[in-house]
Parts: sequence; C-alpha cells; structure tokens
Amino acid sequence: MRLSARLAALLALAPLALAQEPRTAADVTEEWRGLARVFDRVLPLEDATSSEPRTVLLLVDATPSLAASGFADALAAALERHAKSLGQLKLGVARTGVEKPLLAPSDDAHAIVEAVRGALAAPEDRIVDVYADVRTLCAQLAPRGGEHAVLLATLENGDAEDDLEATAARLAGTKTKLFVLASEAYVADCYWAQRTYQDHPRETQLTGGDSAAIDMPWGWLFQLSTSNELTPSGFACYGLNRVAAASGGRVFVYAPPNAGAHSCAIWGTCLFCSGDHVAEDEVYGRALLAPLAPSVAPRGEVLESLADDPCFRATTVAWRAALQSGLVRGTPPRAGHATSVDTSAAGKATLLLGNALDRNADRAEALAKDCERILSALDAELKRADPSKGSARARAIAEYTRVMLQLTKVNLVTYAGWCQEIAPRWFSKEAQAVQPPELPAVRGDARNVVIGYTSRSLCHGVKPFFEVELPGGERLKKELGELDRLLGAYTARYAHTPYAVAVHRQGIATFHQSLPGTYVEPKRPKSKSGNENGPQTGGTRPPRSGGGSSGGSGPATGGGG
Amino acid sequence: MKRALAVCALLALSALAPSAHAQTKAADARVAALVAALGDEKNYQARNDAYLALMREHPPAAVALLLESLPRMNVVGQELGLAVLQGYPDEVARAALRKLLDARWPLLEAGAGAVLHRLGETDAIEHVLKPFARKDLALDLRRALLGRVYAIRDARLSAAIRAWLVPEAEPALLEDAFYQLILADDAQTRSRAGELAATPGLPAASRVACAACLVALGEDSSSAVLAAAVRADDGPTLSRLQRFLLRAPALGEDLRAAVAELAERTATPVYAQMALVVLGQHAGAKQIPVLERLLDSPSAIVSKAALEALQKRGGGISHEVLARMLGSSDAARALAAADALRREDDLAGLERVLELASTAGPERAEALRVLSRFRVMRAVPVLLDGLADGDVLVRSAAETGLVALLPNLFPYRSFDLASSGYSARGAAETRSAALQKLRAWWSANARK
Repeated sequence: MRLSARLAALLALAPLALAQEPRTAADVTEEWRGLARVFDRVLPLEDATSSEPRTVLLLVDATPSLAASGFADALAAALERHAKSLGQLKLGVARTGVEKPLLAPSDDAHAIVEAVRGALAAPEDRIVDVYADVRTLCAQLAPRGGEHAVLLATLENGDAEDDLEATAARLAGTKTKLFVLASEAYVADCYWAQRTYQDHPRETQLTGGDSAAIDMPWGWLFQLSTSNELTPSGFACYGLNRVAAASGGRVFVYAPPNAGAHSCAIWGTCLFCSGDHVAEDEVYGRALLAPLAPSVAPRGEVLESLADDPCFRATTVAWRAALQSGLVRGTPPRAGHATSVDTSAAGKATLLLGNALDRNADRAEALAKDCERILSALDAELKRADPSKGSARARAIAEYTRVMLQLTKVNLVTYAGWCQEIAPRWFSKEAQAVQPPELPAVRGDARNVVIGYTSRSLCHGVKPFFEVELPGGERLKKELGELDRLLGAYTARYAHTPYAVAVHRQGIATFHQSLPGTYVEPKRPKSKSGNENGPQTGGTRPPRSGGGSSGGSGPATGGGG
Repeated sequence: MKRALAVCALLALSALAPSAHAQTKAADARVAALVAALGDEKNYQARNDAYLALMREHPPAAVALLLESLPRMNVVGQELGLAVLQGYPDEVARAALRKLLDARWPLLEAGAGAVLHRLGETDAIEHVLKPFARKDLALDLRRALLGRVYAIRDARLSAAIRAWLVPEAEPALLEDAFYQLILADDAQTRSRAGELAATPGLPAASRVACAACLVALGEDSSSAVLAAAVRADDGPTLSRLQRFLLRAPALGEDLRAAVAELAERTATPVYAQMALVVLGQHAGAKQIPVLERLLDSPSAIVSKAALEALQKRGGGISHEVLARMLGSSDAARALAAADALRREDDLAGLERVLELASTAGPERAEALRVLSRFRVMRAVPVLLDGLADGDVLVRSAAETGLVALLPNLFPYRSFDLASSGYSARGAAETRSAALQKLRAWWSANARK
C-alpha cells in the first residue's frame, strides 16, 4: 500500500517534471529584479541536507559595461548577506579568455571580491567565445563533490558560438548548473549576418539573436534600419539560453538603469514629434511576451519544427518570393546554411535607384504588384493554416511579414510618385520658381545631385501620414488606408510585445538631396525593453574591436539630368 | 522746356543728397550706439537689446567698431561681442576673429581661437591654450574662458583645465571645469575628481563639485554627498548641479529621494521644475507618488513638469486625470493635458488648443507652442494668425512653431521663414508685408 502510494505520487509528479523542462526562453528567464537578486538565487545551497559544500565559479566577462554595472559591489554585499553560508559555499573566480583561474574556490569573501574587482579593473571590449570557457570550468569542477554551478556574467558576449551542444553535454556530464547574467538580445538579430567581415574567434560563428535561426524577414527595401537589429526581444541570446536551459540553470536578463529614452526613429527622423513621444505599447508585458518566446531546443530541432510550422512555412514562401523580387535582401533560414545577404536581391534594389526616372517609376510599379501578389498568397496561406499546429512566434512573424509587404508597397507607390511628380521638377533645367518661405528643394547643380532616402517612423501609426504632403496622390492614400487597417489589427494583437516595436522601427520613405560626405555607421542602440522604467530603447552599443564600419545607409543615386 | 526739366531734376537730386547722407550718418550713429551699449555694464536691458539688434541685423559697420571697442569691455561685453562677430558671413567673421588673436586680451584670444578652431583652423588651438596657461586671471574671466571652449576635445586643453582642479580653486570654477572635462570625454577626470574629493580639509562646496562630477560619470558612491547638499537649501544647489545629474547614468536612491523632497518642499516653482526634470530622467518607483501629488500643484509650471516627468517614467497617467485637466478653466493646465495626450498619440486636446491659440490672452504663446507640436495642417493658419499678434512673445512662439511644423508637413520642400522677411522682432510694416507673402504661400499650397 505504501509502495503503491509512493508510486502514485511519483506518477503524479512525472508530468509535472516533464512540464517543467524548459522549452522556451521564457522558461529559463528570470524577471530582472536587480543584481542582488541574481546572487541570492545563485549562491545558496539547493539541497539543504547536503553535507558537502556548494562550489560556484564566477566566470567574469570583463567588459566596460559589466564593470559599470556595479557587479563587484553587488557581489560584496551578497557575500555579506550570505556570510553564514560561506562555510558551505566556495566561490572561485575566472575571467573569459583567460585560461588560468583568477581565484581557486575559496570561502574568503575579501579575496573573492578582490579577484572580481581585479578582473573588472582592466575591462576589454572584444569578442570572446564564452562557451569554450564554460566547458573548461566544467572540467575543473568535475572532480569536486557537492553541488556545482557556474555564474557567467557576460553583457557583451554569447554571440560567438563554437559548439553549443558540446557545452550543454559537458554541463550535463559534470552536473554543473549554468546561471547567466546577460544583456537582452534582439528579435531574430541579423546584425552579424549583415557584417560577415567581422573578425571573431577561431571556430566560432557570430549569431546573437534571441532565436536559433534568423526567422524574421529582414533587409526590406527602402528601410533605413533593420528591425531585427533594433528590436529588444525581452530575452537573452539563443546560445546562452540554450546552454543554461540544458543545464537546469537560469538566465538573468540585465536591465541597466536609465538605458535611455524612447526614440521613435533610431536612425531616421520622426515627422510627428520632437523626441517626446510616449509609446506606451512599447512597454513589454511579460504575460504577452512569454507565449512568443523563442525555443531553447537544440538548433537542429528548432529548424525541423520551423519546417513543420504552417505559419512559418507560409512566411518562408513569401520571404523567398520577396527575395526573388528584391523586396528584401536577407535570406531565409535553411538547415546547414548560414543566413546572409543575397547579393542578387540587393542588386535588384540598387537597380531601382538608377538615374532613369521613368524606368524607375515603372520598376517601382511592377514591384508594387509583386508585393500585392505575395501578400495575397500569404493571406490565403495563413487562412488555411491551422493555428494549433504552429507557434505563436511564427504566427507573429507571419503577420509582421504581411504588414511589411504592405508597407513596402506604400513605399514603392510613393517612390513611383516621387519619380513622376517631384523629381522632374527638381531636376528641371529651368530654375525652380518658389515663393517665400520656400527655398529651392535642390541646391547646387541639379546634374550632380545625389538622392538618398530616410525612413519616417511608423511609431505614431499610419494616420498622421494623411496630414503630410507625400507624392503618390489618391493611389497612395488608398494604400496608406490599407496599411492603417492592417497595422491597426496587428497592433491590437501585438502591442506590448517586440513585434509592435519591430514595425515601429520601420517607416515610410521620403527621398531627398543628400550631402556628399563620408558615411559613418551609426552606433547600434543597446537592447533594452522597458518593463520597469517605461518605454526605453536607448543607450548605444559601442563597436567592439574590429567592429563594423559600413552598411546600413539609405542608398544614393545620381540625380536626374 | 527740356532745360527747365533738367534743372528741376538737378534741384531734386541736390535736395535728396543731403537727406541720404543724413540717413547714412544716422544709421552709423545707431550702430555705434548699439556697439557702445554692448559694453554698458550698468544697463542690462540696453545691453541685451543692443545684442539682439546686432545679432538680428549684423550691420557691416559694426565689425570695425567691435574690433576697436571689445578689448575695453568687461567679460560679459566681450562674450556678447564674440557671439555677434561669429554670426557674420564666414569670410567676414574669420577675418575679424583673426584680429582678436592677441595675447593682451585673454578672453578674446581664446574665444576667437575656439571659433576658428571649430571652423577647421586647427592651428588656432594654440591661441586657446595660451590664456588657459596664465595664472593671473580673475574667477569670472576663468569661468568665461571655460564657456568659450564648450565641448572642445583636445588633450592639451583638457590637461590645462585639469591643472585648475586644485583644492584652493573656487567651487564654481571647479564645477565649470569638471563639466567641460566631462563634455570633452577626458579620461583622467574621474581619478582627478576622486583625488581632489579625498583632500583633507577641502571646503564642503568643493567636495560637492567633485561628487557631482563623479555622479555624472556613474560613480554612485558619491551620491550621498550630493543628497545632503540638495537637502541643505531651497533649490539653488540643485539648480547648479542639475546639469551633472542629467548626465548621470543613474542616481542613488538617497539622491533621488532628496530631489523628490525638494520638488515638494520648495516654495520656488522654478526650482521644483528643475527637480522634476531630473526626476523625469531618474525617478524610481518610490518617487512616482511624489510626481502624482505634484500633478495637483497650484503652480501650473510645477503641475506641467510633474506631468512630463510622469510620462517620461512611464507613469501611466490615467485618461480620467488628463481629461479632467483638459476641461480645466485654467488654460495652462488644459494645455499641459493636451500636450500630454498628444505625446500618447491622442489628439483629444487639439480642439481646445486651437481655441486657446486663436484667442488673445496670457496663454496664447504657450498655446501656439503646444499647437505646433500637433503635426496637423489645421495648425498652420492659426500659427500664421499668431504672427500678427501685438505681443512679441506670441509672435515668437508662432514663428518658432512654423519653423518646426512646415518641414514636417511638407517633407519634400525646403523652408526658410526669414526668406519672407518676417521676424517676430522686426518693424511692424516689415512684418505685415512678410505676413502677406506667407499667407499667399499658404493659400497656394494648403491641401484642400
């Protein structure tokens, strides 16, 4: 009877245990409640009856951002709080990229804090393979008895992956839990995919997004910035989530105080405010975020499940068609292939911006028809898709793709309008007659004018654009109306999630005379969604050694003539 | 007959000649008076008016007069004169400023050198450095020198400024020097501030200057010193430190609390407003209730600042509160609510703002400022009407509003409002003629 009761209890627990196995990033991510909370969760013994001490190795990725976070002070305070546990707790200190540990496991609080301070006193901003360091530490922990854990504090790395599954296996094999203090990643980040020239440690691949694959179409025509590079995901990068999840550990997504104010258009300009916009729907709701979290399964499994996901299949078909037309330049994910810029698609986009205005208008009209065709096929496919068979994230990405197709159509219609209505006036050999307070739109010799574009952010929605004088006439108004309808429904569903932000970071293009000059790539904002302090996306990501130096600008074309 | 006409014409010309001459003479005398007023230490208003007139008109005759009289003026006069010279067309300004590169006049030399350096004349930095190396300069002159080199990043200049950071330096000079070094991203400022703060017997005000610098650089441990200083008076300290606090990546809880206490306790609305601007950037959960309480402050300035701070902190002000404020008989409060709603993409307050901006009254200038932030075509004719108001502040608000609004509504056009001849401070006839041109343009280009 006792046996059967215990069996029943075990059986009752089994599904619970299965349910607790982390499946998505939401399952391993701890809500940010300050650095003190990190140490309070990591340091205590998990098994209070254990007679052997718990060993925690602090793996410090000593970058300027970690040095400025107050990590060492928080550790000192935590050790004071947990002073009584120090007999049963030993902490070692290691630094990423440095083979020899800075301090062997010790219960000397002063020595522990000084070792961490020493590491942070000379911070470096370089790309490091933290996974190799984690494996090395696991090997050092293996012979020790008691509970093992590694606390990896890395605010800039985790995106240089060598072998995640080997790391997960080493953690499991040595029964080491991995806790991670990390920065927030971007949704399906394609930053490194667009910058393949970046130096990185040998045998690593630069990834960095929140997902196992870049599963959101990127590099849309006439967009100054790429949403995938700017939209905070609410989670750390896939690699760190994956290995922490596999070890039974947790991930603390660091939220720097005052990461900066909300900015409607990070690289472009906003037509509708002067930086005082309160975008309440950009404050993430954790309950809304969780269902959209990316998977933390092994990458191969994620790609397989994406292939089975009806929404993602529909997106991929639309993505490939858009790539073929040159509406996007980033390739969709495919097992065994790195995602990258499709030079043919990028080339098609450049062709559109040649000197012949009439031909450009015709090309734009043809592409607008492509948008319509692809959008209509995607709509039909999504209507057929069984939502229960797909993930919420794949559905969100499919709906994001719909909005982006309509937005691109709007941009093509207004570009065709610019070619027909405005450019001929700008490049006319006759002097432009304008009345005060207007000045001639083109300064200097019209034959040498370089045309660029900027994106007018959708942060305030579509309606304000009806107030603005844009080329494209009634046709544009109709397409704007359709975009307003689509975006309204989309926002109603995805407000307070990264998918609303992703659309806000895109915009309606306007074309203008560019000043010739050297292009300097703007710094990418530091990822930070604002749960606590309101909408925030600010701060800048400093380029790391060997960091990027080109790309991302509105293309330019010679003027008419 | 022909001869008679010719004689008449000659007579007419001879009658005109003295008059034109007299006019030129009068104009020259006016310019001379303006330049002289720039150096008037006793009459602040006359000096300010002269400065504005010279900035607006940039009369060619003033250049030689300024070059001749600036060396004799006091610090403020020299600063204003440099600003006026800087506004002349590039070649004129450069030639004039080069004549001021003279070691006898340290502020003029450094000021002219700094402008030329910013214009790309790299050698001019030598003239900036020389005055900074001098030991015999008075406090006001040193502070003025720092103002001239605002944000210039030059290692030798930063080193010269660091040399001023000594325990016996006046606290006000320390603050200005630290701030300039922060703007110049000087890597050694943090350690220098730390060393200076640790000097035994350092005056309390100097210690506060060091702490302000460290807090601006992210050293949270210094915030207790600032918190005590902020608590010690009714706002003057905060008004001096505000620039440091706004640059800080974060403020310690004690400092945030001290700023919030000041916002509630001070009897001077401007100090409360300054504290609220800091809280708009740094308030944590514990300060939000203070912001909420100050929404109902009897001072409209404070209430508006509290509203803006709350919005910046994502305070989620309820729609009911804003609707109540929008319906208030207090125009300033209604405008603040309309502006707050606009920031949330809610244009519910537009009608009220249009009404207030179209009506003469003490709040018309603010109503026009708020209106121009609604990027709507309906704002343009109301702003054009504002250009004809009898009050220069209202006209200035309308002018600034149109300058901001037109390029947003017409992104494919370039604008220069001054090309119409309009200036809010211009003569009535000139304004009226210019306004006619602006109305004609609007009538031709308003979207039907």
